[in-house]
Amino acid sequence: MSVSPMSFLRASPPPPHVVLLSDPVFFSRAVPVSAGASGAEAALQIELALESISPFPLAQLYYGWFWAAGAEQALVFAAYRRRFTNEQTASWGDAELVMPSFAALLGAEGIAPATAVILHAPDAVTAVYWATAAVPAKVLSRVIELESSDTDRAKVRDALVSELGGSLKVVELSAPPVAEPATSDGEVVLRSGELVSRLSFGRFAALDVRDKEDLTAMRNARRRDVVLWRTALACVAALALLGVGELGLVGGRIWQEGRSAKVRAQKPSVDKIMSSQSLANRIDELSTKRLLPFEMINVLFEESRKPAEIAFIKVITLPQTGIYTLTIEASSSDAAKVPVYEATLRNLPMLQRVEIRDYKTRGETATFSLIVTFKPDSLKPAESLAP
Amino acid sequence: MIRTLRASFLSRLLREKMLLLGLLLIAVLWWLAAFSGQIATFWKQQRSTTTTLAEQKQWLVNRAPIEAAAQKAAARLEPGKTLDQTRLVNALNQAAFEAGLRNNYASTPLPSESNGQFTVHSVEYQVANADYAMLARFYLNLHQRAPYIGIERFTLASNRGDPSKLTLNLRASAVEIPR
Repeated sequence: MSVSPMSFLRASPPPPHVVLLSDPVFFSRAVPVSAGASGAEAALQIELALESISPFPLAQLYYGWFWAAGAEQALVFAAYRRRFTNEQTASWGDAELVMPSFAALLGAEGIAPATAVILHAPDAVTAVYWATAAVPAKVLSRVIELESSDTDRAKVRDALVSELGGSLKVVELSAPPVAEPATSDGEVVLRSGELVSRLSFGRFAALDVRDKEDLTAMRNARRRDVVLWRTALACVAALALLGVGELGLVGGRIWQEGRSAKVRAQKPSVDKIMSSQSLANRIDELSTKRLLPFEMINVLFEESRKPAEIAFIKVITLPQTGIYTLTIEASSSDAAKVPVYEATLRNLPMLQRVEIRDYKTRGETATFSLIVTFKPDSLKPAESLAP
Repeated sequence: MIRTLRASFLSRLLREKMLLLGLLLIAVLWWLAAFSGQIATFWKQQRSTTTTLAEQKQWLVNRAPIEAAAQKAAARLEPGKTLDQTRLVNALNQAAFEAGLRNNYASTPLPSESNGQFTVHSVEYQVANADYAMLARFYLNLHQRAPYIGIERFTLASNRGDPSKLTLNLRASAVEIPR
């Protein structure tokens, strides 16, 4: 039967895959660490200590350790690699953490000094002893038959407690801790009965007994996968934002449509006002601001101002230059007369501006554009015009 | 829920993760491109509408002064003396005739503009191959009809073959106020 997507989403995440190995396979020792050592220095000292006490080189061991920052000792544990079959090690590939069962207790909360935790696994009984609260001082483990009775287990437990020195506070766990669903990447939480063990990343990285190079590669792959996950999450967030944006755009279009309707509704009234304004301006210009082209031409001619060599070819008034400006296309059979005429015009008090443009000469002749602007109200409508 | 999805994502094969991420990236880029185009269009439209509304508001606020100005301008003219399109052309022709021009003038009426209260009529008028004195007389004749006839555009050009002959093009306008 298929599982519905909603029930999949409602389900809590699976717990991290933690492989707990049989304790008696590992030997463990408390080794000294110099005071004030950093994590890297402590790791180096611990590996050196393990190398000195182990009958095998480190490359032939699966090993890990537990050390709390500031502690002057660490608990190191190791097993000969050949104690594990290829099938066993192959199954570790997708595990978050691989360690002996007792290591799962090393993050236990509320352990008082001089306490021994007795862990009953199906094939072994293990005692973890904390002389101080920081780091266990000793781990003892005994193999036990799978069909052993409670009495046999009690005997083994008593022997272990006695070996640890007796008169201890003893906490008994009937089963190895089990990983709980993860709430963050930086922590693995294991529980056995009332005892909760929290292993932060810094700790469980050292507890993992797998080959250290493989672990580094796995952690790099994990970091890459987390980056991919975060990128995917950012994409989903971007899609959600775009969805919200689309909704906003729909709202914006409704608002815009209302405004466009207002523009359309007002347009006839506004067009009428604009037309009134335009017509008012034209009537005003017709009655008060008259275009006086012949009067302006006369000013340019009268009193023999214009040299005979200069001839006007075309005289234009342009709407864009206004009613006081004449644009004249002219030619001169004597190019030297052009600046003279320009100077004459510039001296006329009724002219505001005189400009020569497109001045071109060929031999003695010249063509040019003369633009003259009269001062407003300097001209009066003529009663007669001289020929 | 997120942690469940995360655990599910992280447990996939690398190629599955890459495929899912690729599809998500394509979807985001495609949607983003389409959305940014829509946003740009919307922004342009709303800015244009805002400007238009502001302009319309300005015109509507000034409705009373503009209409008063138009009425005031029209009040300078006697309705009985204002000209419609036909009378404008006739007046121009008469001015030309009285100036001694014969058969060398032509008119082209232009569309009239009206605001409902008064109408402005315009005519393109051409006098060809005339001498300066006759054109000046024609011009003075038109002036006598001011402000009921006004000149809005003016071009005077000499003929290439005979520079003493001139061609005059002008746009004459008249306001018609219904009696």
